[in-house]
Amino acid sequence: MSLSARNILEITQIDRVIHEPARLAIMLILDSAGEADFLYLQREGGFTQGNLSGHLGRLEEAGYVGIEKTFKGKLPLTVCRLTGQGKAALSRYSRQLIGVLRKP
Amino acid sequence: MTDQSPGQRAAAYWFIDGLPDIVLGLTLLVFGGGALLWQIAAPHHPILDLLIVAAGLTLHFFIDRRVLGFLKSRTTYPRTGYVQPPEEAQAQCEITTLNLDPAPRSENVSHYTRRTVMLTYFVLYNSFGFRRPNGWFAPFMLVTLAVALYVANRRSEHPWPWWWALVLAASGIIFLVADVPYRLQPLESCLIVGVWMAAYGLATLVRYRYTNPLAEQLQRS
Repeated sequence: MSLSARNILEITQIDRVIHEPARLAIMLILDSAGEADFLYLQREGGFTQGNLSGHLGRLEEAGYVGIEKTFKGKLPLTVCRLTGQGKAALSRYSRQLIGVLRKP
Repeated sequence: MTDQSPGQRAAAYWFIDGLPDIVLGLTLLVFGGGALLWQIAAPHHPILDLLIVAAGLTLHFFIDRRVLGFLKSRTTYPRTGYVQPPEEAQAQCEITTLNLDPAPRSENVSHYTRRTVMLTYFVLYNSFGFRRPNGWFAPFMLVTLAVALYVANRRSEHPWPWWWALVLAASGIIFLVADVPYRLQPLESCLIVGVWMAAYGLATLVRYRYTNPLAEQLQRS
């Protein structure tokens, strides 16, 4: 595979917040499933508590994920969902990555 | 299944605890049983039985999410977490759209209402509507329902196991062995389907609770 200068430029412009595998997994789960709580994400992604906390904090800081403390019945839950900005960033990231990989 | 997308897994997660089947099964048992008792106590036109079962399923349609949300907040969410309940899948239309956006779209959808609730009601409705004067009709309807539920759901988020569908199909033998009056056969079919669904849900719930104990129970052990 030969890399053009344009390819290299596009690779360097890829969103590093999403590009990290654990954060990408979190974004894909939330994009596909809708909102989910901390425990579900932990199980689904195989994360440890501290690991997930750290990645969610980073995504929240970037404005990609909204975290809300809520109740389902009497059960307190920490529910995460993608923000509009997060959905747009994931869409942009997908396009960029597919574009780079498809080019000769 | 490992080849499912996160959205499909989220949709299947709604059925992981068996509660939707228990609620549907109990709805059929309560309303079918009520109609059966009324039919035994004071024989009346079967259309009224059909209306009672239809009222039960209509009630189920409107309040099952609220009831399940309440039950899951005490059973499922503390054990394995909460994910957005699946939306009911829309009927497929013939329009083909071209999606140029490579981002994954929501696949957290369920076909349960159409492929299980409505299908069950449709088959039961036919057993109320077209009574045949022979003992094979009710068993035939149960076999039809078992095959229909298995085939319609085999690739959905909530497939029925073939051996469990076989149990429903074989349960029609009751009508061949016992002398059940024709006017009671549709209601007894309804009860059999209710027991069949609730039993499956209950077994799933027991297995789920056994494999996913609460955090406090884990600490104690």
